[in-house]
Amino acid sequence: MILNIAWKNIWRSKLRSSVVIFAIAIGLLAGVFSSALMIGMLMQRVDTAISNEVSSLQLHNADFMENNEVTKTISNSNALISEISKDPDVRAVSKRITVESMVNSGHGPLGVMIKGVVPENEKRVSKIYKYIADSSGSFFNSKGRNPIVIGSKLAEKLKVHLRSKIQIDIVTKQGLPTSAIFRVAGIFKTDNSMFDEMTAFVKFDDLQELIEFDEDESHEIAILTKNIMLTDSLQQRIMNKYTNYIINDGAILRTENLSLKPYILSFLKSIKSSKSYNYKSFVGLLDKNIKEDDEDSKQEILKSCETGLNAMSWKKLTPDLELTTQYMDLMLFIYVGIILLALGFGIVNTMLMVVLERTKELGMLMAIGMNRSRVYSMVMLETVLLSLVGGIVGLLLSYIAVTYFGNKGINLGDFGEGLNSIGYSSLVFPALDFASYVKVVIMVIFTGIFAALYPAWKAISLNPSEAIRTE
Amino acid sequence: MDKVIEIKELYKVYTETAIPVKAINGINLEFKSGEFTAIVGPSGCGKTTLLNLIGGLDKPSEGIILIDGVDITDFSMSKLTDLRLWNIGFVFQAYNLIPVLTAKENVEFIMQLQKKPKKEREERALELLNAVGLADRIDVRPGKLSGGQQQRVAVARALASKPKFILADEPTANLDSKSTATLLQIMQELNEKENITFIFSTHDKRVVDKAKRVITLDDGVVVSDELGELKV
Repeated sequence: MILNIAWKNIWRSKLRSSVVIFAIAIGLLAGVFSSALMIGMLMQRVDTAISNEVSSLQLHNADFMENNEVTKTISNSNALISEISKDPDVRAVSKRITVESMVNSGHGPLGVMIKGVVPENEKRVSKIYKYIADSSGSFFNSKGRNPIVIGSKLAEKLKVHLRSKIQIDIVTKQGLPTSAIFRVAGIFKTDNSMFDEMTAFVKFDDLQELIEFDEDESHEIAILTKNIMLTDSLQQRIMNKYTNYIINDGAILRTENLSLKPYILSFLKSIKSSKSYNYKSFVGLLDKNIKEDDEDSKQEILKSCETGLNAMSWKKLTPDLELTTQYMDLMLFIYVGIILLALGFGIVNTMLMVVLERTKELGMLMAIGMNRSRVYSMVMLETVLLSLVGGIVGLLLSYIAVTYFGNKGINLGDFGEGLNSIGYSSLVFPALDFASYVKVVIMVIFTGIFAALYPAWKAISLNPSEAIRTE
Repeated sequence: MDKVIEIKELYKVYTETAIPVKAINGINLEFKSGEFTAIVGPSGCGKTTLLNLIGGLDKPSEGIILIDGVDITDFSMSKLTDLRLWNIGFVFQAYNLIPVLTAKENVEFIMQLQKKPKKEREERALELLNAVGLADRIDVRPGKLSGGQQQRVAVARALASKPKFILADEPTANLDSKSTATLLQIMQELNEKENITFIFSTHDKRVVDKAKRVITLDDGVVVSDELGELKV
């Protein structure tokens, strides 16, 4: 009954209600679409980072992570790859040698990260080969000695072209400097100009020979999972199997430099031994003995006591992205929240007008026996329904806009170069998941409820005998 | 006949003005079941105030109002609302129907507040609209009804809750002669045949002429209380 009247009341003043509905709809469209634009941009960045730069998961020798020392290698790469490939969540695996080097083309040396890759495996893990234009060579398709694939920004800085020669200076496993001449076989251009400037790819075998690695040695095993959501569980499985934790003298020495709380240090000293723990049991041991408030200390201890293999997900490899993805929800909340706050005042104003206009009628309703809670509910419902209609129209418009531009993309044109320099694409595909639409609907309902509080209170504060006499 | 309303030493003083106004100044009255009473008097004599006090829309400054022997003067707001819902029917000067509901829905509304079953509500609404001569206008909204028709819907609505009595504040003030005559005839018939108690405040001589009892107020005091001749 009250719902029926509240719904019909909305349409008493079609023009006024339509204006409110239109305002809510346009406000939401603006808020939701800009959120979708930002989220789309971030998702693309994450996707690009995973597919071009870091992959879902990387395995390293635990000691390599400290200062990228050339000698800290994974000694049984091939066996490890064949083992990990069997995991049902794994899409592709590729080994890499990564060394910091100086490259020179006669136009000054530049510091570059050289990645030695097995081209056919790398293509399954990384999409970098897709960023090489037809006129800019290929990802090691051509024959010839010592090919190198470099980023467009690096090519620009070195003033080199396809088939130009460049010299690479590195340090061998034995710590001796060595150099070799490579010929540019491909030039890639991604949306991340920093990556394009700092990264170069060579064939695994060429780098292996140069750096004097054994056949089975590598620095990095890159893994691409079938789905981004599977990364964390795979990481846990791999760490359980291949990562060990030992609290020996070396580990104690490292933890002493971490400014840990005294009770943690005494605990670590008390369990010092040559015993090796796997990831699960070590985490269990720490959870049991270290307070929840000291989560950061646990992470540092894990790092200090780690031996064997280290598995790092894209989140740890690109912490800035992890942080921004964590704030995606908050971003939507803030964008839409600010707009709804402003709209809320408009709704309050409209509903106050409604109560003022209907003073006589509200007085009559109370006179004939409608109690205050029902009057309150009626005004409340009317406001929420009005907001909800606007909200649904707004979300429909948003959905259409997000879907359309999500397929077509929005070219941010002049801003493109600036965005590229921080790793973002200038062609943005807005994206928003279903749960976010539901969250916005809930926010709209709450806006309606809050906007109704004062008008509904005004309505029930009326004195029926006076209200009836209002002209 | 049973006493439905009993008023003892009733006062209502408005203190919001610079000089307190005594709208009701020591009234003692009784209303019995089946009365058809008109309260008359010049503007500002306290007619509407008296009806508001009897209807529990306002609280007296002093005195007692008994409805069916129960003192309502100390009732809370919510108890008074319940009292109005279950015991009192209201007819207002300006009809005051709910504009977004049809005639039938307006009559049904009060029974919905009483949580009566749908079937019972519909049957009674049709019966009452038939009684006020609007059987063919049940699905029409108030905006499309004439003033007289709207007031007849208001009477049907007032009767819908099966109240002990109906309070009508100047019910014919906005009606033309023909509509007034029709409305009066309907109310008279309901009073005669179904023993519905009607208490009117009115300036309208046509209403006064039809009343069985006429109470005259002046300056918040009952100046006369006479049984009139019922002219059918």
